[in-house]
Amino acid sequence: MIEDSQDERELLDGLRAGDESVFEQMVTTLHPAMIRVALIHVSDRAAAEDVVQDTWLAVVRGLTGFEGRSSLRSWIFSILLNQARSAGGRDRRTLPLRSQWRADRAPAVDSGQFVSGRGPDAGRWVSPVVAWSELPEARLLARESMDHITALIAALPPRQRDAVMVRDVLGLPAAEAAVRLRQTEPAHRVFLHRGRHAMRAALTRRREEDR
Amino acid sequence: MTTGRPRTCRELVESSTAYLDGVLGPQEARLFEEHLAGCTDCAAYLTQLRTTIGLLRATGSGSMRVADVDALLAAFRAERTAGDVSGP
Repeated sequence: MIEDSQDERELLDGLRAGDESVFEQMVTTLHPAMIRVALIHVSDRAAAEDVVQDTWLAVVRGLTGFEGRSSLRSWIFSILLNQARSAGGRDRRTLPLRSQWRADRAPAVDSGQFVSGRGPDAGRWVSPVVAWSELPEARLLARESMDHITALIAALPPRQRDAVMVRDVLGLPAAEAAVRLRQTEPAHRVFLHRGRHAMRAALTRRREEDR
Repeated sequence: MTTGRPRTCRELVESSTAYLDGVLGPQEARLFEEHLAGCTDCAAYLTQLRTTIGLLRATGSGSMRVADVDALLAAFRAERTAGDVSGP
């Protein structure tokens, strides 16, 4: 919906013209992602609903002043992050600095999974990579409940978690995500890489447990 | 910066996020794809990674009932009326 600039232009025009159906459609479209983000920072569903509701009210109030220097989606999510962070406050899960440091520097994929040394097989996978069945995401989601995935995201080290949220859950482009997170794009990509791989590893473990 | 040496599985994994973002240089991308074409493990790995991303993306979409959309619409309407000094 809010993917390209043409759509964004039309959306913004609709909102400024007071078109309620445009507003309602935007709320409905973005709501699930916003709840996911809020749930990372506050402890329960009701609190997340409140944060999202407050965010929409702030969006409504701020719409006239919105100058379109960032995308509408990105602007809305920056308001959401502020609301969620202040609502989450001391509750927010954080890792001790030392383990954060370790988590952000460990290789994305455990080096034990590759053949070491300098032989002809060096750098190859030690054991075959199991092919995941090519189910559409919708069917996978039926198995991996959304709440479970949200809990996995919340358990990531903060910078990996933020990268995964902004890029994959919210779907912002790399350049915009880096600006939002106040990182260079390459640095952002490192956190994203690690976060995605931690998620992949967690999902792999679950598949093995299911068997 | 790049060499023509074939990439290892480990190197493919390390550059996978950059590859998916389309920021590898032309030669690096070519070496990445050459390795991928001949390696079933890395092909399975990349599918896992894409599926993971798809799952993450799916948690942020789909339909969900908005708790109080009426209140939001009322606020939208009220703001519009209050702020509208130029309309007919």
